Amino acid sequence: MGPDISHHPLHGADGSVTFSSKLCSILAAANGPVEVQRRDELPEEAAVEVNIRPVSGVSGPRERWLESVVAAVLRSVLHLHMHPRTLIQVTLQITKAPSSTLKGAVQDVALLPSLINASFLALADGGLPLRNTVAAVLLAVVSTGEVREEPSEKELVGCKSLHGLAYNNHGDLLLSESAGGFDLAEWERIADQAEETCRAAMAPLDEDGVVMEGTTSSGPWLRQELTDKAQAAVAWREAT
Amino acid sequence: MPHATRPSTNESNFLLSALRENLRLDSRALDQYRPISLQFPSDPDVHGQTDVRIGKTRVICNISCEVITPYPDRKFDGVFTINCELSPLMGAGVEVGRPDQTEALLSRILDKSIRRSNALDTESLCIIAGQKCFHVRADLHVLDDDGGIFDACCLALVAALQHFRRPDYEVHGEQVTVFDVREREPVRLTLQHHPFCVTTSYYDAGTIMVQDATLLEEQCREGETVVSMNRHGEVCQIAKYGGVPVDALSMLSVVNQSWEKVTMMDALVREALLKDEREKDKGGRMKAELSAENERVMERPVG
Repeated sequence: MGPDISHHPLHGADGSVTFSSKLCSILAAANGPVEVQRRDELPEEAAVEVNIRPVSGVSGPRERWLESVVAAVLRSVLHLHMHPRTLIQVTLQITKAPSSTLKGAVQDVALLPSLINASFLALADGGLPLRNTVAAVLLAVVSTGEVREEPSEKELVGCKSLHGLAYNNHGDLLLSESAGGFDLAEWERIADQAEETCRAAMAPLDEDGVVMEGTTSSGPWLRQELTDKAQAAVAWREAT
Repeated sequence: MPHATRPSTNESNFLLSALRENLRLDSRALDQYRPISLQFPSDPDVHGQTDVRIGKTRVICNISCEVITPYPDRKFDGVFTINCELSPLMGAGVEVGRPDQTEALLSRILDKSIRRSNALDTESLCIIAGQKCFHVRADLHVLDDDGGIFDACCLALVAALQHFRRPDYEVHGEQVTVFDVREREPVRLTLQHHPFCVTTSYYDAGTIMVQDATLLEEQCREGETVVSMNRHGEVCQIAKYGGVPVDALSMLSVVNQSWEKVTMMDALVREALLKDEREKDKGGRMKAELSAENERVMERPVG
């Protein structure tokens, strides 16, 4: 059981997706490549702009920071050199946020993996040229010292530390944001587990649709989503 | 920055010649609305969130509230603000951080029809005069624009205000206790009336009138009037934009036609709210028994 995803819910944006995990739900839209403002224009590659819109209130420093983190990840995923002097615009509308009773840093880190996953799927839906596939995961070290994947809100309240990590399909670490107290050995253990989970999310399937490498509870949800989408896109050809 | 695509001359000529024969491209009658759908969150503890769709137009509204100090010149009033900002979710034509005309008009219309018509009784949001009051904040997010965002936003906002519950509180002298949702059943907001907006578009120097125009129809029109009124026929505001002159008699007929639509929207919202309440009312009759407004049973001391 992976997150709840629905493709292309919006008509106006080039690519869009609704992404709901246990903690939050996000509506992501990607537009691009579009005309860029003079001051943002880059001569050799496309500029990436990420806008995060909270459920209530206007976006502030916290959203600005999240935007910068997400933008950095997307820059390493997109083929930016293919559209020089243009803009790739990603808008992330949060429709359900983790409870506001959580600590600030915990709230931010809890959001990040969902933001990354949602924006990646929106970019894929918008047909933008992508260099690689990325999956992000949220891991929490609960009070007993156990590591939980995709923790629930209750587990977040008493957790020792919380880690949001993203890996691409080559196993490169693209994002690492943590909150709480932990040591290096612990982080390494968590990073290994995160890599395994991320790679499992996009593990290749064999002809019968069976996972070829690594298995986790959520299965290869990202690979499945993208395969289904690609199949739906060519369904007309098979029907005729 | 990119602009929204304008319809081609052929497209607009086709639309106009069809309208002259009383036809619309989606085969609706000239005064017919597209199907309106209204959704509330499935979680029974979440209040004040609505998702409104009129055809392809989609708006979500979220109401939140917090306790603040009231403005010194309005000691007996709570604060109610409406926040609507258009985003590139609607398409690449929207620039972030630079409000354009649609956005300015939208917030002005909503302000006039809901806030300044006193739909929400701000006095009821006051906790202690001059010290504590509720700040109710409505955030509107336009997700998709296929025409009629004024109507959709107004509908979403009114439905969300009716759906919202503010936390209950208790005052002991200067001490205020605001209760958590789990401690006490939250309370509805006091709404004095439910205004709705109806937009009418004009074509051919005001001779053709169309309600609930799609985006293409909006781009081809010469002028529009936005009428906000409640189901009792009380007009909150009339705004007319675009250069086309309209005579007073046709304005009256616009108001009458809008009234019809407003009654339809009001019934739709009421039905959706009732349905939502019935679905989430798991406690059945116990809910009335558990209401915070009931008198408290004081236990008599033993002996």
